[in-house]
Amino acid sequence: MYIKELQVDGYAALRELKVELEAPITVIYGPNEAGKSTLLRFVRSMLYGFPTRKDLVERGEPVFGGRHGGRLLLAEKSGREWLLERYAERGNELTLRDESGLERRFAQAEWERMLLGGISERLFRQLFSVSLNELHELRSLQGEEIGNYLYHAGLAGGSALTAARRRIGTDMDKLYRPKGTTQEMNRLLAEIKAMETAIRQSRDGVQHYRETEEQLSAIESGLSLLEASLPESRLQVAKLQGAYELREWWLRREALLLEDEELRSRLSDPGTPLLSEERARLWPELKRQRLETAARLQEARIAATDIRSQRERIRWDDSLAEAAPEWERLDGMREAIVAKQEERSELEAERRTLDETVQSVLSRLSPEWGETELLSFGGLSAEREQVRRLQHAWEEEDRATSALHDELQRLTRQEEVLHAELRLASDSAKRTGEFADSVGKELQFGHFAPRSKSALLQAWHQIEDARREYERARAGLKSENRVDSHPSRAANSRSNAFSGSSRRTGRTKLTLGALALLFGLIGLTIPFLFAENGSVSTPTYLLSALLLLLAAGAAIFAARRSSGSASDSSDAGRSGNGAAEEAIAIVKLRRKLVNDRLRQLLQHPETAAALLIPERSGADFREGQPSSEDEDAVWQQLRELVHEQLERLEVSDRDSSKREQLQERMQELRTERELVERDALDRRNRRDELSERWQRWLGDRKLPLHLLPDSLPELLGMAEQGQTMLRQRLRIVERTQALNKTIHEFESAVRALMAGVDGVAGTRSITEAAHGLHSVQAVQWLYRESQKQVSLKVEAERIDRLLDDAIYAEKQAEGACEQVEASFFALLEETKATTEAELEHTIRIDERCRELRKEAREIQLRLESGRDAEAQARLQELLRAHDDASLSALLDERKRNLAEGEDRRSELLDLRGRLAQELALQRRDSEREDSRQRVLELQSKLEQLAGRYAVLSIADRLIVRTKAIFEEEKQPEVLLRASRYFSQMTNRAYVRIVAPGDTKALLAETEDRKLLDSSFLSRGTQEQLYLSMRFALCDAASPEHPLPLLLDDLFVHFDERRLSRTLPVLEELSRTRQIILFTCHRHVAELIGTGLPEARRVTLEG
Amino acid sequence: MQVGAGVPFTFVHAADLHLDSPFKGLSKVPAAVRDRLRESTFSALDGLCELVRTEKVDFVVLAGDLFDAADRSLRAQLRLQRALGELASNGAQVFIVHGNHDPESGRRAQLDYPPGVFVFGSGDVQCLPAHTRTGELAANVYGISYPTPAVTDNLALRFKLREGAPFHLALLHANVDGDPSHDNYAPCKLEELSASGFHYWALGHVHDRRVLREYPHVVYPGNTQGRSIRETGGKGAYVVSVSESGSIDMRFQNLADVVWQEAVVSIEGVEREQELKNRLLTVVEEIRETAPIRRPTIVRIRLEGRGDMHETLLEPSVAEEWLEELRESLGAPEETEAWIWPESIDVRTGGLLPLETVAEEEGFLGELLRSGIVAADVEQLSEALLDEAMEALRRQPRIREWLRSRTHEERVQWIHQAMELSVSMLRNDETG
Repeated sequence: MYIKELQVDGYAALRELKVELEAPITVIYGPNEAGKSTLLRFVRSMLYGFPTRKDLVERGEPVFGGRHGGRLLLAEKSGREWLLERYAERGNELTLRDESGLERRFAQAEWERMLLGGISERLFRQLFSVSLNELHELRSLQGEEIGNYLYHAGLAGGSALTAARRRIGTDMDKLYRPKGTTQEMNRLLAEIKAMETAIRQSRDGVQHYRETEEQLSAIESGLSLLEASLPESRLQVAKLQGAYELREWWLRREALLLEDEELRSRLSDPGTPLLSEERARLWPELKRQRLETAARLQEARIAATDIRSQRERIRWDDSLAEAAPEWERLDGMREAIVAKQEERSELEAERRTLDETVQSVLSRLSPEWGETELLSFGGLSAEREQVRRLQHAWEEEDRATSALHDELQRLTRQEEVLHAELRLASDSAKRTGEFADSVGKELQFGHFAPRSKSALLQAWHQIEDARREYERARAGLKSENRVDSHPSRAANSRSNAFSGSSRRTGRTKLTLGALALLFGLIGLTIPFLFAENGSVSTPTYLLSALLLLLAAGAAIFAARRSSGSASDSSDAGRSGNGAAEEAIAIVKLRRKLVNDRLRQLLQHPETAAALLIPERSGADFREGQPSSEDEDAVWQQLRELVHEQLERLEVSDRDSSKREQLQERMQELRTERELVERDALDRRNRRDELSERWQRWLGDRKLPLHLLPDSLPELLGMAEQGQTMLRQRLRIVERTQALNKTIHEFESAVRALMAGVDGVAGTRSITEAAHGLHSVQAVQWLYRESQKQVSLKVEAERIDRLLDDAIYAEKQAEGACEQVEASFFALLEETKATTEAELEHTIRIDERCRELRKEAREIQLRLESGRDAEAQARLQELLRAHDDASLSALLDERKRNLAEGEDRRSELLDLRGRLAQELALQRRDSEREDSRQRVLELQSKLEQLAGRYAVLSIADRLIVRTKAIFEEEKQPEVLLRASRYFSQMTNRAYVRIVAPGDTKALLAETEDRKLLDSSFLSRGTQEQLYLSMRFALCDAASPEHPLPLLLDDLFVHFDERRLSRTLPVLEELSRTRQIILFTCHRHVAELIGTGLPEARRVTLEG
Repeated sequence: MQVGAGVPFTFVHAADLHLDSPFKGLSKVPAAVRDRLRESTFSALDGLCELVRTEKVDFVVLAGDLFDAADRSLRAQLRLQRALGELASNGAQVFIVHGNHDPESGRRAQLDYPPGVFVFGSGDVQCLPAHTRTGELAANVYGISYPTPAVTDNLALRFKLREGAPFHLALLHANVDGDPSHDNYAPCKLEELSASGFHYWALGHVHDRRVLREYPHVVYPGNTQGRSIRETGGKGAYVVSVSESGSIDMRFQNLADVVWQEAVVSIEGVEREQELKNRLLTVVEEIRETAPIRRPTIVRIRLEGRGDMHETLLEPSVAEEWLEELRESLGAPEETEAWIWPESIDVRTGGLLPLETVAEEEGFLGELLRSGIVAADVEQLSEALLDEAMEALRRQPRIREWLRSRTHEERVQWIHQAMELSVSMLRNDETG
């Protein structure tokens, strides 16, 4: 393969560079930094792709722009040309165009295989694109890959061989490694080893089972032997045990029997049977009874004697004892008597006091009075009533007299008052009459005709009415425009008229109608207003109604006179002359009426009438305005005068009535006074009569006559007091007498009793003492004495009874004594004992013997129980033959033997159980045991793997062997060629290169057949040697697709001669492959230029 | 040789029970298969007892290797003891000789046998009378046990006929005519046996049943249960009936509980994996259907022939994966009584090009194959090559021993496989 042209688009510092490489040898010359090495790298990258960004130098990203990549124009030996295109942006994809322009794309591996002859990039670097650095890498020559090329050039693609070996090696390593642990076979081996060790260490199952079985049978036989012997030994032990336990009893029995014998021998007649137990028991009982009875007898006797002596000691006074009840009675009275004596003396004192009081009362009552008078002053209450009534009458008279006297005085005073009033009244009446007259004079109209108030009032009212009628008539006559002095009345009439006209015509203006209606209404209301304002009576209403009617009539009239023209009522009033005449007539009529009335009112009506209702013509009527004002003033005067007159009339009326009353009263008082004076005379007479009666009464009673009835109650009280005291004194005297009687009786009884007592000697001293004492105290003393005597007597009787009992008990005891004695002698008789002591001795011995024999019998029973005769005999023998110690020793020994036997047996049983279990366990385990099977499984797995390993290993071996064969055969060719090159370069200084199979060193053989290790050669020579090797290898590595050889300034260490000697080598090489030399040394370039005419030089500018 | 007028009788001849000895060549076995296999030798023994009972057999001769003393299996001992007891109690005499696997020296690995069981000693050939069930003398039984595991003497020469019985039966554990697949213990020759005058040589040791000769009969009944893929097909015992006239009728009774089978599948013409899988399944189904009795079967499948699949199969784990897949598609053995368990796939395939053709080429590969073929040709060379290749493993005594016991054929097989491997790897690069 030839590179015809390099087209760099952009690579490292290169840009848009085109280099043509026409000749077989091209020298690319340029100074440093001209881009020689870059160009070399460019070629490499184009062929093998751009490295990743890890190696930025090799990758050669464009520094000065341009598309990263370029093209190579390649030519095959055959002359076919290809255009290789590779750009980094396409991710190492390369495009190949043939001459016809057909484009093909290749994957890198495919490309390498097809056009680069399977040379890997690494190999290319080492063999075909060599710089000084790479040249010196001796190791690289010895690398596996190169080694393959070096020796196995026959097999295309040495990499396959390497890969195959590597793969086999990997597979083998997975299976086994001599010192590995994780590899499958290693693992299996270890496992097997572990299991086998475990099996080896585990016991031999069968043997163990056999041994166990043997042990078991041995134990079985031992056990059966033991079990046969055990019952006998157990029996022996039981016997001995029994004997041992009973030995004590046996000994005791022996002793008992011996003692019994001894006791019997002590008796006089040992043969006599034992006394029966009952009888023997009777003996102590008898003895006890005898003692008891004797003691009781003794006691009884002593008691009797005691009682008797006690009885003898008691003495008492019989008479005193007998009188005891009487004494008791007296003693009961004693207290009462003492009380009565005291009462008597008190009563005496009281009586004396009363006597004195009575005397004083009498002296106060009357000097003439004694007790008899006092007592005869009987009927005290009747007297009292009499006196009281008298006194009452007296008092009544006194009161009546004084009352009459008072009445008389009052009447006299009233009379005086009335006289005064009368005088006053007559004065005022005189004054009133004067006043009335003065009024009449003052008045211009003269005196009023009516003299009474009511008449005046009536007349006044009538005249007022009449005047009103008159005024109204006048008003109707006058113009309606005028303002009346009485607006209310004018309005009234006007409204009435107006309303009437409006009603009549109906055609008049609505306003006028309404106005008429309004006035009509006001007219109607006015009376009501009057009614409310003042005390207007029914006539006023009537008058009002009348006025209304009149007004209505006037209105109608006026309307008619207006000759249908209702538009202006003033016009109507003025224009209607006919109607006015009629009205004047009415006015005149009215005026006449007023005159009449006035006449009734006044005594001189003419003046008044002239003033009030002057005569007038029609015209006056029409224009009577000033006169009308005068009239009103006159009216006013008149009215005031009427009122004054009315008041005056009223006052005079009142005065006259009052005078009449006073005179009436005066008359009454006079009559009353006469009556009172008469009564007072009566009273004085009756009083005198009473006084006389009192004097008489006093005389009858021998009382001092100067006494007044007023002091009588006191007198009576004293008399009563005196009588009461007298009665009291009488009662005290009676009571004293009764007490004296009782006391006397008591004392006489005492004296009588004491006389009886004197006879008793024992109590004399007491009696004497009693005599000396007051009877009461004597009674007390003697009563006590008699009581004492009585109790003594009772005591004596009780002791007598006790004595009787004691004597009886004594007799009883004697009887018992005798009985016991009899029994005692009977017993003595029975035992044939002569003495009591002997009897007792016999009894004691018998008793003891009985006990001994009983115990012995019990022991005997114990010994015999559960044993037949033979056994009993043996037991006896055993007991007799051995003493305690030997028996115990024997028993212990036997027991120990037995226990040992038992222990042994249970031990064996236990062992047997365990062994049986063990056997069962072994049987069960044996069923489960499968370690051998598992080992075998592992083994088979191992064998399987070993087989696989063997195949792999054999394959590897075969490869190695073949490789060795190849090495032997092929090595010389490469080395021969290298030797030739080397010899040529060194001008036959060295003739041969030797590569021994066993070492990795390269040796150079000199002409005189000396071998030198390459590392000892000079640098230049070394480089020549390596270069020779490379040239040779190049030929071997790519025989079919000779790749171009790119050498980067490799000759710097070559001297001129050597270099020139190298040139033929290059020439030779260039026959088969393209050679591109890069150099920065002019002499090199020039030398090659001159030395190799075929060579072309391309100069790169720095 | 004239056989005197005797009584007719029947006996059972079995050997190589190898009770409870482990099974070879198994790995990754599910519990059901393993348990069944472990139980299979005992099942065969039970079958034997059953046979004796149903066939009213008069006596039983067992020609050695009843168990592997080296295994020290208590289970084997206990079961054997029980089975022998059963036989004896059934009224059948049992005559036993010990072989290389259960020699007398391994006495301590044995339990005592029940009465009615006669074991021949190792000192000298003994002669014992065998009776029918009715008590008549049926035959003289001669026998001798191995004193040690390895007996290289010709024990057959020690057998001497003793007159007095209508039938003479020799019981021996021996390798007749040096069967190479078995250890050459008590070596003897068929001619010697034929000439000895015994009517029936009841032999043991060789696991393939074979009748070497008739009248006199020289018989290997084979073992009662196959124990590896090498022991394929039916296994059991012979029921031998001897008539009054002395004519012998032999009936083989299959006692094996688990059958070992080998099936061959060719990859020729197979291009896709599914196709190969179908072939594998078909073969397995055939085995299942052709099995005489529906018994569990363990199958080894051997892939042969040249085809496209060859290179794929050379990958280390591919065969394993195929095997797993096959096992899966067959279903778990727990689910059925008569399961089929593919034990392994033996890859013996070749590339499309025969090695011989390639070997004629120049170049590296040709050179390699030529040297391989040379090595496979000669036994010593193959051994040398293996030794060289397995240098790293020679330090492992277990493997070393195993390697030593490999036959030339096996080595040749490996060498061929290695060559195939090399070709596939190097050729790939060369051609591609």
